[in-house]
Amino acid sequence: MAERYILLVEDNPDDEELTLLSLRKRSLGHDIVVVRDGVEAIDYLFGTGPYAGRDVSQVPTVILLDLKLPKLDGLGVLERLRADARTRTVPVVVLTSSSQEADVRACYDLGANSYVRKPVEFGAFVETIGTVGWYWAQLNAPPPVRGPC
Amino acid sequence: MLEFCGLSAQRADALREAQREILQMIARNAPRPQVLRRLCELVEGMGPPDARCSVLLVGGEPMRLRTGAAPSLPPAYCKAIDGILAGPAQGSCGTAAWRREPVIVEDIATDPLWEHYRDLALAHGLRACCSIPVFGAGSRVLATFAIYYAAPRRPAQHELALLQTAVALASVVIEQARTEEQLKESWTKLELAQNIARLGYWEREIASDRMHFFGETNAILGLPASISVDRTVFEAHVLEEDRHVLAWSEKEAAGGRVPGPMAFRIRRADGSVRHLFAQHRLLEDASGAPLKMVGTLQDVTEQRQTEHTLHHYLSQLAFLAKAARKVNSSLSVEELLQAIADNARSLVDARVAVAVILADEDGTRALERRSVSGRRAGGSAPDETWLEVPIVSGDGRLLGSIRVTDKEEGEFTANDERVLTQLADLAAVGLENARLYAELEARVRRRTQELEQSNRELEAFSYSVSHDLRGPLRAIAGFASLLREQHCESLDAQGRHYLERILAGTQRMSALIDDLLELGRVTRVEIRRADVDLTEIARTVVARLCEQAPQRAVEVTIEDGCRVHGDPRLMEIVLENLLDNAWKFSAGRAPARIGFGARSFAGGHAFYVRDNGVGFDLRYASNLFGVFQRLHAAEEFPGTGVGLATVQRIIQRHGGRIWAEAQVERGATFYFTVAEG
Repeated sequence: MAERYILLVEDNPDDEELTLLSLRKRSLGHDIVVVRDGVEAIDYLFGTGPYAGRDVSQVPTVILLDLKLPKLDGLGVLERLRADARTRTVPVVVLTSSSQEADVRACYDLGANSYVRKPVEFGAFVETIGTVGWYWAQLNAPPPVRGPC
Repeated sequence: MLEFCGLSAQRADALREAQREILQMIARNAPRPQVLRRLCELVEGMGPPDARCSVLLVGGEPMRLRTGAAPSLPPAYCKAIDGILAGPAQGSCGTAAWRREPVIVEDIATDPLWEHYRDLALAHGLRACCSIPVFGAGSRVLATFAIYYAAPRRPAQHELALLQTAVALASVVIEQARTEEQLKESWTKLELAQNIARLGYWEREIASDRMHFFGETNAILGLPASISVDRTVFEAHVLEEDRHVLAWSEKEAAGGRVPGPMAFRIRRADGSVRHLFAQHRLLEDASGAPLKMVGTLQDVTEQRQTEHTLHHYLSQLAFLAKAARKVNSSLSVEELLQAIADNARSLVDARVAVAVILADEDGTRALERRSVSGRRAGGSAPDETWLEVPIVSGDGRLLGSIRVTDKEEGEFTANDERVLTQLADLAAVGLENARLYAELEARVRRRTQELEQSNRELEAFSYSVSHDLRGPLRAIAGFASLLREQHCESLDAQGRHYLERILAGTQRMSALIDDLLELGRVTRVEIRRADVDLTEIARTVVARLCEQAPQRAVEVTIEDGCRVHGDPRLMEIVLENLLDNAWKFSAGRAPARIGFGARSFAGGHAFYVRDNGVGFDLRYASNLFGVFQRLHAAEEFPGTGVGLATVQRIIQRHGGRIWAEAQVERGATFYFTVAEG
């Protein structure tokens, strides 16, 4: 079995650092791969562009997806993932600052598994992110890995 | 002829000659001023060379003297004394008229009777004056006849005799003229009365059934006076279709009823048709048996025409008023034009009316527009009659015109033109209104677009606040927390204090952002009304508050059955905010008391949230519901100052009202109403 990892799609270095810190406080037994915009996320997952040749059968246990991203935004990424058989079932947790009803609805409509607002207060942030990571990485049973077809 | 005592034969002859001349003038019916003037001249000619005469006519109440003739007196003098009052010391003439007797003043310079006119007379070289009243029928004073001299003196005997003669002649002249005037006036009145009334009379003897016609009957029928009119002649003039009216009230008379008046038409000898009106009475003999009918006949054609015209004008006026209403309520130019054309056609009984607006010079109304009312049967008749009036704006610009063609009956009249001109004035006002309305509408549309645009921008802004501001804030809070957790030892007490301040600041800012977003949301969100149990919400909110601060001793009273038709989520926000506040501001009380319920008052019923907390001074609470308005220091009572603004926004969106009662240290009560959705 290949290495298990969490894919974090986050353009803000502050949030990236705080998120990584929060996740590492828990022993999740996962690598954390960080990509910094929507296009990079797609390239990474489908082995295109700079990630050409990557073994795309290696899907992340969970994708932590920010909504506001350069080039292609979170909703665009989500749409592409759900349109592709290889990534259709990969759990996606939308991690964002937005509490707009419209965003929440759009995410679920596009097949997000969870929607979590990033708390501003640090304690709450660490707790929230840690819990999300723990739940998806430890508690949740991931969809069975597809063999090459 | 008058007797001339004490006159020389030569003087007597001259006087006779003069008298004859005057009487001839009177007989010739010469105008009175001319006769009186000649009389003065004749007397002056027979007196001393400095003699000057005047006749002042007396009349009015109070009695005044007006110049009748004074050919030789200075005009300025005459003008100055014209219209003086008769009185006990009003010079010679005024006093003579007053005393009704001759007044002889030998020296104007010294005589007290001339006190008021002395300087005036002396300035014109008048030094002595003798005045004699002229009496008419019934001893009325008609005038005064006066003779002036340039030196102090009294008239000689023969001069007095001369004056008496002149006075007698003046009396004849004036009296005759006055009589003639009165006579003329009486005649005029009589003629006028007859002319106006044009009354004819008739009689019917019941027994013999004979009829007689008198008075103006002949004139009414247009017959010469020589023809005697009887029943046959009269009835021959009555239009055939109106003859049935002429029962001459026989039936009524026979039945002993009060006969009613009759209205019918006649054709006169010259062919013209006139309207007549006849009234009558039944005369009875001593035994009460009907004796005869007597009645009047009157030509009421003009009267009827006047009434008809009046009626026509009134209906046109009513029509114009209706048109005015229509014009004022027509908001588009097309509607307006049609209304004008329709009204123009009806107002003047035209078959076709066209209302046209010209194109504007500035191009705002590039196309000429027209509305047509009514249709001609065939093509345009070459001999059609037409009338066109311009539509002119208040500032004199030609806006268009109203043209009517082909009157239903007859030709267009001056009155039709007047009426159409008024309609054109209305049209001008209406057009101006329509233009203003169109402008207003465009402005509203523009403004709405601007508002929608700015609303969209505002929403984008709140989103951006929600997302973008939280990011950096999280970074500040996060790294400050990490600093506190991992590097506390390397900071001194002051450094740690600063760090705490940073963290507290991030918390406040986070709350502020959340509250502002909430405020924006309640402003925009669509209200979905449902039956809301406020009592239930209040209980839930209070339970949560108790859970958060179990150490607090709070007596809570929540009234049962408070329900409202409103947006459930928004109503929850209202109660959360108000109860949070009550909870917060009663923190120092033991026990704290918080109440929720409903109260009836004159305008309906309101819900309230009450506490016994610190309260506030209403004088400083004028903007209690404004955003960021705080009445307490942040250290004392935390809060962003957005909560009440949010509550008010929600209540307003529910068509309700919110207000507060409070006293410092005596608690506060917030009332709110919700309009039925």
